[in-house]
Amino acid sequence: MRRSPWIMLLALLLSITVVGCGGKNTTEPPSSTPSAPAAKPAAPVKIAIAQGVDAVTLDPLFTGDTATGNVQAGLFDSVLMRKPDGTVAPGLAQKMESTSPTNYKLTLRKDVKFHNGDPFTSADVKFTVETILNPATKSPRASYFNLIKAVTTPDDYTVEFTLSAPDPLFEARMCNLNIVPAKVYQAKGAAEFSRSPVGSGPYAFKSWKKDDRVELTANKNYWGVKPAFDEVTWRAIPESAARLAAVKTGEVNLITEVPPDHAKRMNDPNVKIVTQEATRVMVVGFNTTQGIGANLKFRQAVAHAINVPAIIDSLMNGYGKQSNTLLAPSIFGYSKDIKAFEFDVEKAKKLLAEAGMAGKSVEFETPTARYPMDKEIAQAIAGQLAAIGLDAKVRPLEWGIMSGNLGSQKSSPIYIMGHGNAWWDADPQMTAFFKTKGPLSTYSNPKADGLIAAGTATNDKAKREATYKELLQFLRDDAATVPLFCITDIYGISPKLSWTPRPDQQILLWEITPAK
Amino acid sequence: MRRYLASRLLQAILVAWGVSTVVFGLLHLSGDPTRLMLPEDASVEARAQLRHSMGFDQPLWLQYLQFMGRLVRLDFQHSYRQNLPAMDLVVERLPATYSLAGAALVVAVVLAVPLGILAAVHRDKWIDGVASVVALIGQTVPTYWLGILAIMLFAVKLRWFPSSGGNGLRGLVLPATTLAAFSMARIARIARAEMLEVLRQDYIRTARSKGLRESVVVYKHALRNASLTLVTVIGLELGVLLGGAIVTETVFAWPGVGRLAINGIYGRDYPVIQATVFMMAITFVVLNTTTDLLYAVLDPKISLYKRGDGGA
Repeated sequence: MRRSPWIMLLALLLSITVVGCGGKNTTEPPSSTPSAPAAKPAAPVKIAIAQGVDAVTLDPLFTGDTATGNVQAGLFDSVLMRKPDGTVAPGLAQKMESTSPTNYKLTLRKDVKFHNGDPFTSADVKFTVETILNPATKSPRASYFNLIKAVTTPDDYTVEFTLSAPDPLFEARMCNLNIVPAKVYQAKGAAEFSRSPVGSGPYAFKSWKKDDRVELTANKNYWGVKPAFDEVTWRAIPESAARLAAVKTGEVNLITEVPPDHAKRMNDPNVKIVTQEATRVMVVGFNTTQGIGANLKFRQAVAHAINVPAIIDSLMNGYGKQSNTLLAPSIFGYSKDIKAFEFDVEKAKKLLAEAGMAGKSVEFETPTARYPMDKEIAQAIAGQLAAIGLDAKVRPLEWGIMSGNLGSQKSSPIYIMGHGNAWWDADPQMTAFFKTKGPLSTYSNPKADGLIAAGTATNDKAKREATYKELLQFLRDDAATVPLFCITDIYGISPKLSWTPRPDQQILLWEITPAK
Repeated sequence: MRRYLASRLLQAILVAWGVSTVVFGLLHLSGDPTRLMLPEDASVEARAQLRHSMGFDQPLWLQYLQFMGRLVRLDFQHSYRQNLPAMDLVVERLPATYSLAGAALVVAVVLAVPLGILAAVHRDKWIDGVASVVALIGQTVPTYWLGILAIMLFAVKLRWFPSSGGNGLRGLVLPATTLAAFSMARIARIARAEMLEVLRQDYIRTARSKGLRESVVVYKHALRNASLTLVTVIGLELGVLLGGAIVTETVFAWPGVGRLAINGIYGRDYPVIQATVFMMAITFVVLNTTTDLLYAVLDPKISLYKRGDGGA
C-alpha cells in the first residue's frame, strides 16, 4: 500500500478541526443596531457587552466579583436596589421597616413571577438567605450576612430578620441580595442551577458558552422597567486591544476597562468614551506594624514627596482627580474637609532626614495588572521618592501573594494598592484596611480601632458621619496612608446607546437605553 | 506491540503522577488560596473557617495523600470558583483548544512544507532567501503582537473576520494563522534541511540518471524519504501548539483550555489547575505515542531505500 502519509495526516488534522469547531454559535456577530423608539417592531433589538472576564458562575449564592455580578444582575432581582446616586429604592421588597436596631420587617411585592412562571414569595427570600449562611454551601457571601440570626415568614409576602447585633449596613446588604426560586434551586441542585439559572429579573437565561458568551432574552412579563432590548449578550474578551476592536467593528456595543492612553486617542465614529469616578481609591500604604513604616516622620516624608497631579496627567492621561481623603466622594462617611497632603519636596527631604532614612533604600511592593497602570504608578512614585533621597525598590507581585503579605502584615514598608468599596459605606473599607489585623490591614492603632467600632455601634447616620470624619482626620494626621486619586473607570460605548456609568462599576441593563 | 503499548501506558501513569505531584508542590508554595476565593474584604474569621472546611489547615503531607487518593480515583473535586466538577470544565473546553491547535498545524503544514521543498530545490536562489526571511520572522515575532496586528488589519480595517470569540470556522482563521506562525517557520526549516539531505543521496542521482522528470524525483522519491522525519516533527509540533495556544486563546478570546488554566492560576483554583495539567499530560503522552507508532508504520516502507547508506 502506497498511501502518502501526508494525506493521512492532513485528513486527521482536518477532522480534528471540523469536530472541534462544532457549536451553537452563530457565525455572524450580533447586531449592533438598537431600533429607534418610534420604529415598528421589526428585527429583534440586540446588544452585546464585553468585559475582561467571563462570569464565574450564574448562581447568585456564589457571586464574588463585579463582572459576575453584572451578568447576574440582569437575571435576578435584589431585595432592595441601589440607584446610581447612592440612594436606596424598593426592589423585591416594597418597604423595609426597622422595629428595633436588631429587627427588620420587609413587605414584598405581590406581582413578581420567576422566569418559569412560579410566583415569588417570602419562602424564596428565606431559602436564599439560609442557604448562603449554611456552612455546607461554602458560599463566599456568607460573611456578608452573618449577623442575621433568624429569618421568619409570617405570610407569603412578609419577611422578618432578627440580627445578633445592630448592623448599620443592613440596608446595603439587602441591596446586594439576589433572590433565587427555592423550588427550582432545590430541584436542580447548585451545579445545574449555575449552568441554567432561573430568576425573576428583566432578562431570562438563554445559553452560556463558558469563557465566550452568556446570552439572555427579554422577560416580557417583568414587573419593573420593561427591558429595552430583546436579546443581550455578555462577552468575555480578556485582551483590551481585542475589546476595542470588537466595539469599533460593532460586534459589541459596550466595553469595559479602556486603557487611558487609548481613550485619549479615540477618534473612531463607532465609539464614544464615557467615564465615571469609581469608589476605589488608589493609595500608597505603609506597613506601620514593623520596620521603618512604623516611623511617623518617614510616612509624612513619603506623603509630601508625591506629586499626584503629575501622575494623573502623565500616566493616567488626565483621567482622575486627586483625592483629599481615603474615601471616594460617593461613599457615606466621606468628608471634603480633610486636606490632601501638599506636594513639598523640601519638607519631604527634611522629614526623611529626621527619620534617619536620607540616602537609604526601602522595598516598595506593587500589584501587577490588578489596577490600571498600577506598576507604572509605583515606578513613577519611586522616581519621585528618589528626588528626596529615598531609594524605593519597586517589587511587582502577583495579587495573591501581595494580598497574603498584607493580610499577615508582612508587606514591604511602602506599597501601592486600591482601596475598594462595594457597599457605599465607610465601615467595610475602614475595617478591611485600618482595623488592627483587618483582612488587608497593615495599620494598627487603638484609637482608630475605637473609632471603627464606634462607627457600627449605632444606626444614627449623623453620629456615624461625625465618627468617620474624626477617623479620617486621625488617619490623615497619622499619615496612615497617602490617598492618590479615585480610579476613573473608562468605558467605550456605541453612539447608538445612552448610558451613564455607575461609581460602583455595576453595569445594570435597565440603565442602558437606545440613544434618542 | 502489546509490550510496547503496555510500557507506554506505564509511562503515562508515571508522567501523570509526576506532573501532578510537581504541580501540587508548586501550588501549595504559592500562598493561601482562600485569599482569592473570598472577596477581598472578607473577615479573618471567614477565611479561617473556609480554610478549615477545605482542609488547608491540615499538614501538607496529609493534604498530599488525600490528593493522591482522589487522583487514583480520577476525582479532581469541584472548582473552587465555579463550584462545578473541575474535570468537566476542562473536558468541555478541549474541543476548542484541539480545533485551534489542529487548524494551526494544518495552516503551518500547508504553507511550510511547500516552502521548505522549494527552498531546498532552488537552493541559494531568491526563493530560498524568501523562505529564510519568512522563517526568521515566524520564529522571532511574538504571538501576542502578531495576534493584535492581525485583529487590527483583518478584523477592524478590512472586516474580513470577527475580532475575537469562538465563532465557528470564520472565527478560527485569525487565531489559527497567528498560532501557526512559529510552527510554520520551524517546519519550513526542517523541510528544507531534510530535502537537502535527501537530494544529496545516491539514489536520487540514480533516479535522475534513469531519465525521470525532476518533479517525479522531488515529489515521489525525495519527499517520501524526507517525510519520515517531517511527519515525526509535525506530530510533536502539535504538542507545542497545544501549549502555545494559551497566549493565542487570550488575545482572541478563544474559549479553550488555555484560558481556563490562566484563570485558574490567577484565581488559585487548585482543582481546575490540577485537572488541566493532568489532561494536558495525558494528551502529550498520547501524541508522542501516536507519533512513535506512525514512525514505526512508515519505517518498513521507507527501509526499501535504506536511506542514508547510499542505496542498495
